[in-house]
Amino acid sequence: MEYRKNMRTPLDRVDDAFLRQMLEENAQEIRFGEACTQRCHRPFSTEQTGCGCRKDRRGEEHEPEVRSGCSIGICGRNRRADEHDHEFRSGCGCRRESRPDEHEHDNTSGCGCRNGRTNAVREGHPLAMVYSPSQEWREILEEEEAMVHGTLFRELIFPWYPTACRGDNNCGCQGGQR
Amino acid sequence: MNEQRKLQRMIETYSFVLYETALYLDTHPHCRAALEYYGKYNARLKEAMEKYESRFGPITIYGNRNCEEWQWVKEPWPWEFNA
Repeated sequence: MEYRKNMRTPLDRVDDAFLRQMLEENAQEIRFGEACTQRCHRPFSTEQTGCGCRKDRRGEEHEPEVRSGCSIGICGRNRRADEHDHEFRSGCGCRRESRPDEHEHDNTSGCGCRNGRTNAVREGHPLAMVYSPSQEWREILEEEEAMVHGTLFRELIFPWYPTACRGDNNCGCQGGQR
Repeated sequence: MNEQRKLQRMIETYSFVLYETALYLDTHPHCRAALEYYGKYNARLKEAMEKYESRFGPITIYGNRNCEEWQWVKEPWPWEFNA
């Protein structure tokens, strides 16, 4: 089991066992502060973590100073519980609560976090592969027509017919108002 | 559409066609049909630019033909073409 850095693709560089170990270590690193009795989840560091607790996770001097507002009581951030985003936990930018037993994203959250219990990779399924057929030199448009369609290739004419947003795409719009 | 605008439009069109072809050739560097097409439109572009610059002045900074004057700065800027 080794990292084969000369291989062409990331998938070739690690074997399945290595990948699993890497993901598992990553999840462990994020989920549990080994020596931190206060369940601080900052990565190991001898510097001030900025999360309200002091020192590192290696043990001795860990004295959390919970400043205010955190209803979960792990960190000192002053945030409402429902948007308690401990970005130090996973770096995924999601706003899930950060109690260890709740920081388990299902893989439908779309947050990109790899900690989900249902993460396909960790259950032994292969990574997703992209399929893209090779283009061929055919059905070339006349130049004026190409300008109109924004492509030289008739096969690549895919008109876009926008529909009104219903406001449920988290795009920040007001829904249906353009 | 006056003659100058017609030539501009030709140059825009040939440039676009060439750019599309170049993108294709990036992934198909040995496609003879695409290379032939590229050669044909490259010649057309050069011809159109030559024609334009000889009549209306430089269309890029490389097209200055006057030894007495820097014509480029006297031409309309790109956003002024349709003014």
